[in-house]
Amino acid sequence: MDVEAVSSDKLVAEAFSSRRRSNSVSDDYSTQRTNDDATQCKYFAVQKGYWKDEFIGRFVSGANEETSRFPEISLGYWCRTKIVEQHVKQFINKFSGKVQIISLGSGFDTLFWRLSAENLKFLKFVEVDFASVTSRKIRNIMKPGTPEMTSFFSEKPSIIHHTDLHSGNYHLIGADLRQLGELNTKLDAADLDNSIPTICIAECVLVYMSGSHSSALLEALCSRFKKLSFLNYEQFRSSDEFTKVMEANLGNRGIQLHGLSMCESADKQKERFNMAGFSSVEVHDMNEVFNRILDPADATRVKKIEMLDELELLWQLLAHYCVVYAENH
Amino acid sequence: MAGEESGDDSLYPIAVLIDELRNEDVTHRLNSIRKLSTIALALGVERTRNELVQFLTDTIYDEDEVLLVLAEQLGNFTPLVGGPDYVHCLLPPLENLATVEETVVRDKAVESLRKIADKHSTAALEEYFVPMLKRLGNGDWFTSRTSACGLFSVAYPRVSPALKAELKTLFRTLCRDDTPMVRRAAASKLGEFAKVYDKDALVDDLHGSFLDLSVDEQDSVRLLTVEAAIAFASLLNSEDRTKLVKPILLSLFDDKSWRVRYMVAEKLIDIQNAVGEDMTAQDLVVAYTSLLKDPEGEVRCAATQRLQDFCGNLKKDSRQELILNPILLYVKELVSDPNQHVKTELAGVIMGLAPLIGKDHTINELLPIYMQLLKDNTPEVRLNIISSLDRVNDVIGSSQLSTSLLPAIVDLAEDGKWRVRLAIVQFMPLLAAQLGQEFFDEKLLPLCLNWLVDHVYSIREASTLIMKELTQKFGGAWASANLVPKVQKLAKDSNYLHRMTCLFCLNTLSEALSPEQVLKEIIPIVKELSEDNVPNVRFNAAKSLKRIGKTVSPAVLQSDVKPMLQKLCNDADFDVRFFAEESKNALGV
Amino acid sequence: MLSYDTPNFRHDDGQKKEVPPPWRMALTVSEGPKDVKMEIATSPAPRPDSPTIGAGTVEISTQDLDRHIEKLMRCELISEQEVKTLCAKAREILVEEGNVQVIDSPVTICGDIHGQFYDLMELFKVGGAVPNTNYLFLGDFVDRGFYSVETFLLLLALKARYPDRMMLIRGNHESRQITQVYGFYDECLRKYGSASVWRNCTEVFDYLALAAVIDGKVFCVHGGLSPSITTLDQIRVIDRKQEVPHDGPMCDLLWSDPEENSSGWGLSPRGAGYLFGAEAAKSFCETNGVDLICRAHQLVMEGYKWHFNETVLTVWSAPNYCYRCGNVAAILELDEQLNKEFTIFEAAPQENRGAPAKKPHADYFL
Repeated sequence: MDVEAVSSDKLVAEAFSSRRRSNSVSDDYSTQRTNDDATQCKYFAVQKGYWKDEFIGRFVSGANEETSRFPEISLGYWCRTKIVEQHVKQFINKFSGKVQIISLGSGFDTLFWRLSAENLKFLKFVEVDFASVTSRKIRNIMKPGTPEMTSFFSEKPSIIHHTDLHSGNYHLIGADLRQLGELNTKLDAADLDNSIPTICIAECVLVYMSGSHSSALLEALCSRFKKLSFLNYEQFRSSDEFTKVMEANLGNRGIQLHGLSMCESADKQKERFNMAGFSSVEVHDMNEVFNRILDPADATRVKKIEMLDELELLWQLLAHYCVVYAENH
Repeated sequence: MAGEESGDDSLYPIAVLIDELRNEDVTHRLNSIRKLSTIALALGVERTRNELVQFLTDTIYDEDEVLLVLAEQLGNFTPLVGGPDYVHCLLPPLENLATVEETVVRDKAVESLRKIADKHSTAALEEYFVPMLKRLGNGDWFTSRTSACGLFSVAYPRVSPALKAELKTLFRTLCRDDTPMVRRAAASKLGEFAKVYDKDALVDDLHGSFLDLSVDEQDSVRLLTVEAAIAFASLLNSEDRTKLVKPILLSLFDDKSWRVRYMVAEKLIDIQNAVGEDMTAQDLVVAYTSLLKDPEGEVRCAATQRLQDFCGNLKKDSRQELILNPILLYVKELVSDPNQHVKTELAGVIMGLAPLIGKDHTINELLPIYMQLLKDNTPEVRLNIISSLDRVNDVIGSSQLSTSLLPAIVDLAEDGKWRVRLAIVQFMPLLAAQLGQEFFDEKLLPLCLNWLVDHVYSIREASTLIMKELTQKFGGAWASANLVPKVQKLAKDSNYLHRMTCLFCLNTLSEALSPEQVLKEIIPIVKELSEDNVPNVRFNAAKSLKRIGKTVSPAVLQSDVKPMLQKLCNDADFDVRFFAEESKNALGV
Repeated sequence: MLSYDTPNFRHDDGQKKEVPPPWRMALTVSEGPKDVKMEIATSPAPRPDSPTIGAGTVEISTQDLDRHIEKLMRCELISEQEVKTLCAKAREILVEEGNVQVIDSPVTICGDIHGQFYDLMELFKVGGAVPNTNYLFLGDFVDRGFYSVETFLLLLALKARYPDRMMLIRGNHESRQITQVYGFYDECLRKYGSASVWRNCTEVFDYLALAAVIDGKVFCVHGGLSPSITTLDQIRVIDRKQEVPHDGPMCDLLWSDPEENSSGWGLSPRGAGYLFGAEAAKSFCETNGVDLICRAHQLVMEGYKWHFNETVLTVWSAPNYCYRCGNVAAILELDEQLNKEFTIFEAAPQENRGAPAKKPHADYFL
């Protein structure tokens, strides 16, 4: 596993950041930092009333909680949160709760607690991320406060090496998704049943890995779980000017999108999921999700929360993200 | 009453701090932790040691932001706990901070620990600091072991031989740690540890670790050993260097990960300086050429960037030979490199080799490269190559090149990006000097005159600024014949922006022409424009008079300039009056 | 054709006298926010040729303004006290201007800037420096970019220093409500530690003209037309000294958009203003004798965009908008004969941008 980034070494970081080529060096540390940004965005949107999440505040580090975000960002996170929630709930209902949920690169996501708070039943919820992220998540989970995060676990949590937490229905494990041997061992520790319907969620995760790494990961999961659904949310239409600017902007903070070529089109996504062993694959860009798939009444409601000064900004952003829903059975 | 507030500090009870540090609001906690030294000062050294430091050790459990500030503050706490005799009491809180999962906090704690290590007496270092270092180094989580790596070089030189032996063993263990992060930390500290190590034992003790790390399975570990290699090379004698460092270095040049090779290329000159001339001549040149043909563009880029420095550092007696063969053989390949950044770098340094290899070789070897880069598709490559024209001139005289240069110059002059055009505008005086008047008049002057009506302001402005230099070069008569007619035409242009460009030309020209020419050729145009319909043109005429007025005789100033300014001072437009007034005062008329 | 001794504000082809804004009288008698009155010196009106601008009561020397401009051009802040005085001076100048500012050509028209300070510097490099080039900025100076404060204060200082060379009209972001969502308010708070600079600036917003007419032929406005406005006089009688309302003619001017596929009026998806079609634009032009409606307000990837057979034009001057959109920007140069030349420009290169003190977050979904 390759947790801490080379960026923790100033010398190397400076040498590399001075280079102009965008994908100079894999900078895992910055990738892990993307979780902090996502958490702050969600927290801000929740406070504004875009959706309800009483748990996200437990993961926000205090000094940054004031940062406000533009409405199109909050709307985009609303769209993403809702479509993931909708898919997972449908999956749970379809198999009457006899399902396992695996969240890859979960960061500080709160889906487990939100589902539990709604009394939705499932067999297991497993979250995987870099150990430096899971250790911080564990710290936040164990910190006393309201709501009490551990009260939703079916067993008393046991913590290993500061990085893994096991508690019956909920498991949080530190692993590098590019190291499949390690990942499989860690999944074993979560006591998963490979024959039970399982849904994997990956929100802005695959795009940080090279195409070969993400394909290997998809293949490994696909062959391990007999009834697997995969929900992938990430960049889309990645060959235009907007994406070039995105690469440069994120590159400036040391975030490299090694898997962008996989995000070029719906065909490209379908091809990669098919190759990995998924038989059905559907792809929707987030404009479709916003305007046609999610509840129209709720969409109208969130659009009114803050007056959006320029709609073009929202459509442009949403056009550059998509959800892929794939099944292997 | 004013003193009361500050007076309160002396009574600052520890309980208040504790309360503050438990405040829900993190900014509140940050503020109180920031004034920790004030609190310590108020408490006095004894209570600081017994209560404050104790409290900070036991109960701190907070956001990373707060911990970071705390870690920093504790590094400056030595006087506040009573000086060197008591400094060890700061170790427990810093030890805790050196184990947290947040890298930034950990690094800051290590920094502070390094700072206070110096303040320890030898006895205290052995009694408190080293045991802490050992605890960190044997800690069960990687974070504490990572932090330990940074503390060896400050403790080792000052402790007893027995402890030294223990520290050696511990460091070697860390170099073989299971966790890559720890090995990475060890690798990055290897060089500084080697520098404080006993010279005689260096080869026996540390070299093994160096060797291990240089072949680590993780490239992020291996690339950090480049620095260590430089340190080792500078510490060892020539024989050991050749025997022990050279093979490792050469394997790093040839590493399977491009990131390692990139690091080597970035550090090339340091390596060259550290290994000494002998090795440079034999092996380093060959290793360098392998970087020049590296499959990874980024590596070639970094290697190319250092071409001139590397060659310049070669031993004089064999330098020319080595440059011609093999270095230039590989450089020639770079001319058609698929990566434009490599070519841009090459264009910037290639002519720097000219003084190193002499005139004949420059003509035979460098010039073909130069000419080919001149035709490159990328504007940056051509700009870089044209900007080194003076160096070509030093060797061969560039007038022979003029016909080859022209297409490249014309292309750049019409480039869609205005910054590219701007760069070539600014090269024009240089080109004029290098290529001679005849060629300039025929081929380049039309470009210069065209820029005067470019639709980008900065280009128009830059092209007016070069008028002065050109006139100084080619003389007043030349300007009268070639520039003034165009400028006169501009004065009649239907667009006010172009009429103002005309005035900007007159400003710079007037400083290069004779007073007679100014009177005869410039003043009439200014007069015409001082009566323009557009106020902007009129106040620019007023501004121009300020500069032009300084170039004419007192008589002309009175007879021609003054009446114009007087009229403008009574203009209906505020700005015209303002600038006319300003010019009048400046000229004293 | 144009006589140079007329001041810059020409009366609309001599026929129509500019209607004095009806709210002006009341304003000068009753208003003038308290905090500003404190430093308004009641000295005698300066001589016209003295280095103090205008004939108003707020004293600020051209040297002071030049100093402010020099500082702001480096993207450095001026003091809170200096902002107060500058804003008071700007209000004094703006209050003299009609709702529909009457402007003479030549002039360069610029669209939204949105606090993209370094891109505004790029605009000046391409279009020419003030006061050499005359500018009309169509509003939306603030919000979204990292440097709304520096951008707006610079434009305002230029306005105060060269009132005849620099024209500013109001955009939908020059509003108390909108600036609290889109960054200007937060930025003022961050950079000055209090909201007083924001309050001063938003007061100036209320004084900005709503539209402009160049040589009687080019109608300029931030957003577009309003179903409740047929003639320019109807704009001239609006009481503009207020926060941008949620609806009505003043709101529409700042919020409306042209809609290619309709002829008349439609509801705007923005939730304010209207969509106006070709027919609405045509009849407005005919009624008011104008040839062109020039507006900003909408991001166009190519910097400018024609609508309705070249009767309506969108000009957009914020390149790579929000540091994200990947668009180019444009300005429109009108010469003395109203000949049009567009100049396209890109965002300032990285090395020309100062690093923001705190690295702002990336506005993507991560």
